[in-house]
Amino acid sequence: MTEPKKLTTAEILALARQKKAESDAAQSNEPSASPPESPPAQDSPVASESAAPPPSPPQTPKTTAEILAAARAAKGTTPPASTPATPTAPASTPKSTAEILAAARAAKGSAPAAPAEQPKSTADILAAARAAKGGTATPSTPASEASAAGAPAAASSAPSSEAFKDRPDIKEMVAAVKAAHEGKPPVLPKPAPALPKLPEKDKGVSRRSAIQGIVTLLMSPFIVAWVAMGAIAGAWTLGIARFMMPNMVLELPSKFKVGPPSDFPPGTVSEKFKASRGVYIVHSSQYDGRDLIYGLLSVCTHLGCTPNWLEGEQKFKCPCHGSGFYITGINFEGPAPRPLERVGLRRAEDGMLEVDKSLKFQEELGQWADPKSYYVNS
Amino acid sequence: MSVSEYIRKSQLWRSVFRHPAPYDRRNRAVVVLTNFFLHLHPVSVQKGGIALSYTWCMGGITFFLFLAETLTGVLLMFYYRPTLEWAFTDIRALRDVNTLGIMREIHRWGAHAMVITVWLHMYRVFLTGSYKPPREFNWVIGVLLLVLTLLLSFTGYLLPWDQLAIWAITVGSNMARATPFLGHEGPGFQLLNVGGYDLITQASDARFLLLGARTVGEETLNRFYIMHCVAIPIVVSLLIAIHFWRVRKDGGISQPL
Repeated sequence: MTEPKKLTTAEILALARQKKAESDAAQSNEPSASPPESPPAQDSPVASESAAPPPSPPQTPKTTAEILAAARAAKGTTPPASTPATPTAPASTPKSTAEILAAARAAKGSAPAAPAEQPKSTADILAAARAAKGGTATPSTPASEASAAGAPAAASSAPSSEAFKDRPDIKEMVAAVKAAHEGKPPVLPKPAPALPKLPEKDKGVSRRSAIQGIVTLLMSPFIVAWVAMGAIAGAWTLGIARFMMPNMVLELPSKFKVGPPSDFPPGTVSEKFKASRGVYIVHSSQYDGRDLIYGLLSVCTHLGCTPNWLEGEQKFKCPCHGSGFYITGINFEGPAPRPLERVGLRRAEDGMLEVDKSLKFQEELGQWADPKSYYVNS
Repeated sequence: MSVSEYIRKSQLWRSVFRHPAPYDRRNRAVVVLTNFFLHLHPVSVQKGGIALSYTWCMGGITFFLFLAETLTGVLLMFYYRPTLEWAFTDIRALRDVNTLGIMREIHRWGAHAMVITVWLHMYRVFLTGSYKPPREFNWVIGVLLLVLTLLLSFTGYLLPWDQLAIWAITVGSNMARATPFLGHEGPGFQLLNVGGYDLITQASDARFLLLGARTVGEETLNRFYIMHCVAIPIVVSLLIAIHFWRVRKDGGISQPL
């Protein structure tokens, strides 16, 4: 903030306004003072033309807008300034543009007349113009006096519009920046007036507004669309899962009749249903001494191959890894970890033996004691 | 650290989503650009591009129907065996036995609708002059897709293996007899002979190639099944990809001038 080069536009404006206000006050207190801003009038017009305009005259409100306004005023309300016969214009012929402008301003300011004597310098012209515009200077006042006397009024009413009354002009801004560059501590602008306070938000959310918010959210098209899409996708997922569960399978029924007990002589293994149903029908009394007919599942308990009944060796032999089972189904060699499984077997009402493959009986679990797993031949 | 933040910072999440949450305008675009499914759609669409009275959304509806046909078709393949023994029975079982056998009806009506929408899409493109440069190549792609859609309908027609299907394909494939040079009843087939032997006969012409036999039979059924379920859908998928890609590259969807 203290670095002059980093002044913001707002600060520059504020500085310029402040300087302007100071200079206004100073001039109103000392109207006769003639600081460098208002150089004394010079007799030589050549010198006045060659002289540069004062570097920082706060009372030099020669803005474009003002010039234009003056020109319009001169054109609209008075005859051209160059016409000598103008009643309000000076009798002498204006010599320069500045004089013309001054005359125009004088006419616009409703002053009775511009100074009768020919202006001597730019400063005089400007002073006369300001005096005329401000309406405070008398027509006979010398230009130099008018410059001093009319300065405050001119400064205060320098801009052509009331709305821009406090707007500093460019030269004031430049002067402020220069002053800042010369090492003077920049006078920081006053903080901007506080904005009108907004109504404070309620700290707590009322229940009504929370419910309304939730309802609004739920009823928003975004939520409705996503819910609808999710519902449809879910319904399709469930439907596809159900569709993939067939209602009908082309498999043989698990219960089937294998014939009367007399078809299976004692001590024999029937492979009649091995290929079609995967079951051996065995008639043997070796397991527990009773004369039993039972069905053994032709699935090796090692890895699921189908063992063969070897009549000569009286054993089931699996061709895959050499597991061997007795006629009872008990495993005795090879990798098979447990006996073959029995299926359900009973004598149906018509006297036929009926196998139920949906029932499984495992010897190692003691399930072979279940009467559903055998038929006692008697 | 909230749960959502923990998830978003996890390696699993960040390995899938290479961008922050779509909190700002840039990431909303990145979400679309880096997502395989979303990138098919442009990040921003000009207002005229969604003028329903102009586009009729017929291309989009056709694509939607293609997806629906693909989904239901894959499901139907689980219950359909393209053999003389089972083809008709399996279709009947879809109606009478299988739960949600309505999949077959969805597939059938969707196929009818797709033929209609693809024609309407073509009609719209013609009326709006959207086939003009720079989109003339995409028009050609679209014509190929139209032909393939009709072929999908034709091959699917046979699969129920009822009387309608058998005779429709018999009649339809009879047209191939008259193929110039390649049909054994077509003009100019006599020109293709070597040493007095015709190369184009009833058992070696375009119709025979189509049916895999002299008459519609189990070979035809298997052939049409493969064409319907595998070959044509693969080509259609490829052409659809090119079609969409060209829509983007040729200045986006055409819109009112």
